[in-house]
Amino acid sequence: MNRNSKDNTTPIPEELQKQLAGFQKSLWRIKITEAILAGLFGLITSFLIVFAIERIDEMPPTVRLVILLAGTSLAVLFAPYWVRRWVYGHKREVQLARLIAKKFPKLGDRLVGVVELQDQKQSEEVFSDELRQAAMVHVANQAAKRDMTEALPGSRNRKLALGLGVVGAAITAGFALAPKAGSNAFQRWINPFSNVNHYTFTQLDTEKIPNPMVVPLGEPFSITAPLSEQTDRRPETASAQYGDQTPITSGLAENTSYTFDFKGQEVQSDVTIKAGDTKHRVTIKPLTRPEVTGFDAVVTLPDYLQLPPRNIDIRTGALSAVEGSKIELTGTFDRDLSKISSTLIPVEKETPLDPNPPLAETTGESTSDKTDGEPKEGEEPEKEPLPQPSPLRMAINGNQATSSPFTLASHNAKIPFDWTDVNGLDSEATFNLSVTSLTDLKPNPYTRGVDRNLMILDGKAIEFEISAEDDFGLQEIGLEWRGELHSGSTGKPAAGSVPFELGSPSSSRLTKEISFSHKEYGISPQTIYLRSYAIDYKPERGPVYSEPIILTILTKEQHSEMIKNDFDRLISKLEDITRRELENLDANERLDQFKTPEALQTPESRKELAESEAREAENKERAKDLKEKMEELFQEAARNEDIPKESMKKMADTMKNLQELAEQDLPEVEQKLSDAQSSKSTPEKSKKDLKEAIEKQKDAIEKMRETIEKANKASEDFEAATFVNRLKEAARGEDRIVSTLREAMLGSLSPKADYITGAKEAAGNLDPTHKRTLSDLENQQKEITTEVRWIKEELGSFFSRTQKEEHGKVFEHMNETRIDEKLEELRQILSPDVAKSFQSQKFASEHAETLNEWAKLLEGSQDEDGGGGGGGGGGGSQEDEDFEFMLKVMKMVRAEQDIRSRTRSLEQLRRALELKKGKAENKNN
Amino acid sequence: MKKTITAILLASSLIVTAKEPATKSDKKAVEKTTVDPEATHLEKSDQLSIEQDKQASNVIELIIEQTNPKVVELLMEVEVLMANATDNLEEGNTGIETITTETEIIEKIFEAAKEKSQ
Repeated sequence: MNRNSKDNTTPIPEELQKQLAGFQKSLWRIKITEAILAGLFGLITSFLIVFAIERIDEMPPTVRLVILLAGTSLAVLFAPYWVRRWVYGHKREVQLARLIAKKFPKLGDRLVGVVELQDQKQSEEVFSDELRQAAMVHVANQAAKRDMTEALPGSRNRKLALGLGVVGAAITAGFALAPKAGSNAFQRWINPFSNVNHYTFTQLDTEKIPNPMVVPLGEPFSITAPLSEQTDRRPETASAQYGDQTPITSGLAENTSYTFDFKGQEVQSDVTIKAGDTKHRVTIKPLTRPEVTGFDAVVTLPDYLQLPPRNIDIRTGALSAVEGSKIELTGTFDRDLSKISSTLIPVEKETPLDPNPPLAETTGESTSDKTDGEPKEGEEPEKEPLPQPSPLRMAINGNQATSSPFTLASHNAKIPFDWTDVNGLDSEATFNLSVTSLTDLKPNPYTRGVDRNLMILDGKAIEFEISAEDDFGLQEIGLEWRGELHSGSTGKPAAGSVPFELGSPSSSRLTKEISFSHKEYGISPQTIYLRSYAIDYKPERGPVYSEPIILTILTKEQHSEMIKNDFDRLISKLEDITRRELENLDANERLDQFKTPEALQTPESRKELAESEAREAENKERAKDLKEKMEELFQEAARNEDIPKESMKKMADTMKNLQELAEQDLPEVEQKLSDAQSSKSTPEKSKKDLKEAIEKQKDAIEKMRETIEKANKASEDFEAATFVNRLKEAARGEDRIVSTLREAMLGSLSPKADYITGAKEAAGNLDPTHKRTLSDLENQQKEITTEVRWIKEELGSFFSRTQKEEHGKVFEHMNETRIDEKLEELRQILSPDVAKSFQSQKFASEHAETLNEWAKLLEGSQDEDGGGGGGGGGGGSQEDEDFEFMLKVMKMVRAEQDIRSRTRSLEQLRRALELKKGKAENKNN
Repeated sequence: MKKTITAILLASSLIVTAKEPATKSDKKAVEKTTVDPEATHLEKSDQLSIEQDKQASNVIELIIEQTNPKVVELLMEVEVLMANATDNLEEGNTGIETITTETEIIEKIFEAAKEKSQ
């Protein structure tokens, strides 16, 4: 062995090693036990904390986590550290020696030296092996005398075990008393973020408490908090607090729930319900009740109206639609709905007044004959029983609800609506919709621009406007007429109609200017009942008629008579004006006679003059009005060729004088009276003006008298002319009877009938056609007889007034021949019961001849009068010629105007026929 | 006088109606027949043309009586217009053209009357 280069170590003595090993083992046992106990204590204590606190209040998950971490930290952090420190930190002998040195410093130091000696690696020359060995033995012997366990650090095992025992016992007791609570606490402690609910002894059935809860804004509400079936405790009272308001309490009702009544709230907040150890928070959202923002109805009208559906805003709660319409209702609300209910409730309808009552009987027909099946006057309409109310199906789409379409019957209806929104809030009030079922009214036709009752000369056209209105649409408007014969009629009664304007389903108003010329429609002189009509689209209704215009188409003779009568009326009015003027004159003369010039200036006199002036002004207006009427009459007379030229001239003279009176003479009198009362005039001037007024007034009155005289003369001429016309007309009537009899006797009226004769056939065997003919002729003869009687009477009166020779002669003849009796006899043998046709024909012919002769006689005398009446020799004066020219021109103008009106009428007729044709073609297509 | 009639003529286009019945009309009901509105338009127009032609004859008579050249000229124009209107009506033309011609006739007659009165 080389002592200089050899490294050799000396192990410590075996006894010392054993002693140190024992010490180490004890140390490790104690400290590991401490670590385990500390870990357990931490865990159990953290659990106990959670268990205990959660009995008071729910702990948030984060807090539970912190506690859990804190608890596990002793086991997770402290124990490993403790083991590391005491086990791994005292693994070597030197570490043990140092630990022993803390308790036994000297021994410990020596032990440290020994351990260090063991590990030193020096050569033999430096360290002696025997010396090291001796030192170690020495220390070992010292160590062997000591109990190393006394050098162990203090043990906490007992305290820890005690603590562990206490908390363990607490946990055990808790579990024993409240196993559910314990189990719940354990689950919540071991997994703080689990969904395990906090266990309380008192449990509310929170699923039955809406959360959040929507309540009506500002309205009281209540919350009911029922206890859960699993609850272990049932506290007698519970409290609830809205936000930070004063809590309210509630007792347990029927052992199952608490009800809390809150006043109206306007701000969102939470309600905290406390019952026993449980607490529940409900979010309250005050919200306004759901409201209607829009309500519309889509009304599909009945098919026959051919109109598009209508969209109507019904927010007002009222809807009117025609019977038979299909209605669909849509409500829009301020938020989505969950539920809506409505009911269709039929309501009795009040019988409406008919705006178009049937016309009064005029021609034997009235509008009610042609209208739809409405009850006649006096009949009570049958009432159908009302159907039962029925629910109206509604479909919800978000914030809109739409009803299923329903058809509007003849009765009215009421439809209430109630709804609930998605938050469970009900509507504040029921929305009531009143539905009124309307009847499709008859159209209302009328005429404008024409008098209701007028008389025109044969050949004249009339112009007026026809209009009609309907609540929906008009198909067409037109004219309809029916005639009745009068004494001047020769043809048959007219009847017909023509459309003038076609409408459309949307034409609620139609108007047409009409030029109606009866001649173009083949209407001879008679009385026509002219009505406009309108047809709407209602099936089976037919035309509805206007008030009739009674249009009497006069023959020339009748027209002459009418002109004459009107002329007489105007003369009477002139006489009235003259009388008033005379009264005015008397008053003015009194003023002039009894008042001095100075007295005329007094207020009383001025007042009298003013009154006189006012009366003069009134009379002037009457004269103006009369002049205008005379002009109109003159124009009308100019149409009639049968009115003699001389009569026309006299009418023109009358007109001229009236014009001068109205525009010149009377205004001058009025002016003078005004001057007479002027305050600027001197008394002498006033007197002078008054005198001048009186003079002018006298002149005016004289002119009036002359005019009346001339007018009366003209009237006589008229009357005379009408006698001629009327006699001629009567003669024509007899001629017509003759020709009708002739036709009947020759069989032309009825090809199959035998000719009628009183000689051959008994009245009872007459063919019905002939019977009817004879009956008509009998009636005609009766009219002629009456007319001739009138002529005779008036002729007598005329003669006694005028003493005209020819008129006297004719009157005498009429009396001598007893013409009226003979005409009556003729009537008797014309009757179907007698039927002496040959004799009737003969007599009628004779009478016609007689009447014509008398007419000629009078006509001849009239011509003489006319010729001598101021015409003069050599073709008359220039003035007469001018007048004649103007009269011809006027007649020409009138005639041309009539032709134009008739052309228009023809053109309208042509267009109307085209309309009719087009309508018929459309129907066929 | 002349001026009075002229004034009435020039201002007049009124249709006079009487207000009260003057005739002793007898409202007897007689068998009614219906006027056929389908009767030919041409036929009626032709009838109207005859009346228009009559008026033309009246104008010619008036022309013969006149000495004022201007009046004669105007009346001759009237006669020509009436002939046109007659032709139109004969052909069944009752439209706006014919009506316009008739209006022109009326205005021309007024003109002639005015000329005569001056």
